Amino acid sequence: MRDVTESGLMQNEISDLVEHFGWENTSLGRRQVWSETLHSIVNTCIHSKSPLLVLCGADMIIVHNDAFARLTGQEIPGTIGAKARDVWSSRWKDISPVLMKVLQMGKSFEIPDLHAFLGTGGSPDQGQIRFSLSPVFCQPSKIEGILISVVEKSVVEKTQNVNRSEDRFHRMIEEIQDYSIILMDKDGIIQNWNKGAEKLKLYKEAEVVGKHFRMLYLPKDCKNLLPEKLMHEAVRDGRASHEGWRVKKDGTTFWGSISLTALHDDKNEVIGFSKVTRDLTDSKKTEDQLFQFNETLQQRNEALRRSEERYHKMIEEVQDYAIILLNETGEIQNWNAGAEKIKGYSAKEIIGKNFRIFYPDEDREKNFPENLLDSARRNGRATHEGWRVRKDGTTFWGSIVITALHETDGSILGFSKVTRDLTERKLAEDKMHEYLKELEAQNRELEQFAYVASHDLQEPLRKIRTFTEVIEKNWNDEEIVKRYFNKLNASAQRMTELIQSVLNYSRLSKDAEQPVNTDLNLILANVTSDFELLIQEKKAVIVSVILPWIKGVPLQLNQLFSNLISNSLKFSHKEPRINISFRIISSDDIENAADGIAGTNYLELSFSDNGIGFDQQYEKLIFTMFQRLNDKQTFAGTGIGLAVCKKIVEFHGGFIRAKSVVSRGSTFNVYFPADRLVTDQSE
Amino acid sequence: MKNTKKWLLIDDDLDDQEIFLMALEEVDDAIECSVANNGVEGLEIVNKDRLFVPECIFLDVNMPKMNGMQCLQELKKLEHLKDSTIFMFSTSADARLIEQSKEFGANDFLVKPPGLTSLVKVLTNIVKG
Repeated sequence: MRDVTESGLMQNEISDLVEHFGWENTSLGRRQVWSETLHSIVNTCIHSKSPLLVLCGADMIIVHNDAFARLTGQEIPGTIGAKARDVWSSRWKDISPVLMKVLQMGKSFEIPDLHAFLGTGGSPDQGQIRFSLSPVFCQPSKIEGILISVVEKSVVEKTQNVNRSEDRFHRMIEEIQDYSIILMDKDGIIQNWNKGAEKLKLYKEAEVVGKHFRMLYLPKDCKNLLPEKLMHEAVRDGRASHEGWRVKKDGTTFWGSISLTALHDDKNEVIGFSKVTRDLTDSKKTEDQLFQFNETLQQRNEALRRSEERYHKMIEEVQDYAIILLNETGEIQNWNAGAEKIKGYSAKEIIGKNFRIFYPDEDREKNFPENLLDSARRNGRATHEGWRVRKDGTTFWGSIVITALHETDGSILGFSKVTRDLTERKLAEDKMHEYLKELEAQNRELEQFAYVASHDLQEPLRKIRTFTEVIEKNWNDEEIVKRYFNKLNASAQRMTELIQSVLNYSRLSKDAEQPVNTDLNLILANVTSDFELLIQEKKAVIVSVILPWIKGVPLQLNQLFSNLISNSLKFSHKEPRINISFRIISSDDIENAADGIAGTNYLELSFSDNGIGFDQQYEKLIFTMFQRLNDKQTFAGTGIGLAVCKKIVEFHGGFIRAKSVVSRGSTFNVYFPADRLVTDQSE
Repeated sequence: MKNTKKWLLIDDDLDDQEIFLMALEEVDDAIECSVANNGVEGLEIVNKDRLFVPECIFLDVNMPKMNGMQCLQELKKLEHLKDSTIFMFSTSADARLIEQSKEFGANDFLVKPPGLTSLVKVLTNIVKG
């Protein structure tokens, strides 16, 4: 190895060699015929201090400089002017394709290891150098030769590494999309703008670079000098952070989390700022929503609680309705003031009991309460009106609505039951029905009345007219005249009777007189006295036990006794025997009792006779106005008597029945409610 | 006319019976009129003697024992009386009764006239057909 100081000598040596070399024996020919490019490249090569080698012409004649010789250990006299193929013969099959590529493509190629490439000896600092094979053009498209130069690897790579690292860093910043990263100078003027910033704030780099970063803040924040404060803080503390609403280019806002960092030079002077912004709008929104949701939830809960409270209070205090909650088996869960008022139980007494307690025995036996729940279960609700039992055993007329309460999954949670006490309405209704019945009965009577007018009263009238004609025709026949005058008189008499009895009947009225304590013995005595003559005439016997006192209308009771006794006296062929007796009897023991009076006690007054009697099938008929069972010739009468009896008894809250066998006497039983009996006669 | 006309009056009112016979004698004294005091008696008469086929039967409506309507139904059951003309004979003309009598097969419903003369007129019309 030669010393670096020797290089100058070497250079001259090579220069001499090149000058005096017998070029005419090569394909390049004499130096005088070389092209300018060839001259220039050869001269450049031999005078250069960095290692260079040129392959010239078609035979690739080698020219290299001293530096190259030192580097590769090439023998200068041996290689300069020689053909590349001859010099690197052992490696030629590997070398020639690379050289051909340079020639053909006109491009530079790099060789990482020249010694390995050329098959030359070692050299210092192998790892630090790189080789380049470059085409040498004489004209734009004509290649004169190939230049092999060497570049110190370390220099190249160092530069490249630095560039790459910086580039990467820039790229990284530029490409980051999720963060806005901005570089600002010390006054807050934007210098640099990355993709994240563009994406977040919608401004293009060109639109913002050179402008103050204040533009990214809300007017009110600008007014409060927030950007300046942040810069101040970053200068003071090195960095500043903040969260708040920021403005985008389109005027919309986002929730930004920023970090502003002061940048310093070597002298620790602030030269600018980096600003990293993250869009936390979504999380902010979520947070806000969560907060709001929570707030709303709390408000709702509160409202619900209050409403529930109010609702409970309301239900508790409602007085006119019993509002109760039942579980699915009908056990009472709660109790309000109305329920207590209507049903008499306190909440403590009743909660937990089954609601069937409110129903009368007969309803419970029929499982009526359970059926109502079933109905509500099936149809959503059930309604009913009926008698219910209070705590004290009294009854009230309840109108109820049972509503099924459902879980969200549709299963039955229980029932609400609203009950109204409609007893007054029910009683009024019942009374109305009673009136209606009475009216209907009165109507029927009126119809009968009309029938009387058209029939029974017409009859004597018709006869009177007929008899008058007969008398007129037979005026000379004294016997006929006399007879028909009598008939005339009888008809007129009958008409009077009829009119009188119709009047009596029509005058009978429930409210005509107030009932008073009446001694039935006295009534009987009066009637017997009235019929004294007839009794004597018929040799009748009237036997009576001592009768009780009852609350009644004396005049009507007199009429009743009178009609019954006169009937017995009338419908008899033999000497009439009339027995009068009484007893207390339960309606259950009365044959053919009136409807709806089960379990009630009655005072039974019996009038039995030994008269002609009647066929039992006519029992109902005999109490109807103007119904006669017997011909008028044998038994006189208007056909009203028993109808009057029936009406009087009914006015006193009772009913009348008759039992008979033809020609074996009749018994008329009068039933008065036992509470009409007077026990203390002094009243 | 050897074959005398035969009628039957069923009425519980003796006065009405007398008036009826009196009027009929004036209209046609050849007519032989039997009288029954009620429905039961009337049926007895027509059942006892099957040869007794009255040309006309006058039937009062309001009678004890068996009223006119019941009697009418019984009479209509009797085959030998199928050619007899049956007149309901009542004091009043009740629409329901008139309807009912027609249903049961009565030929007509007569209201007892107010007066002997008018009764004669009614019976005359019947006799003349």
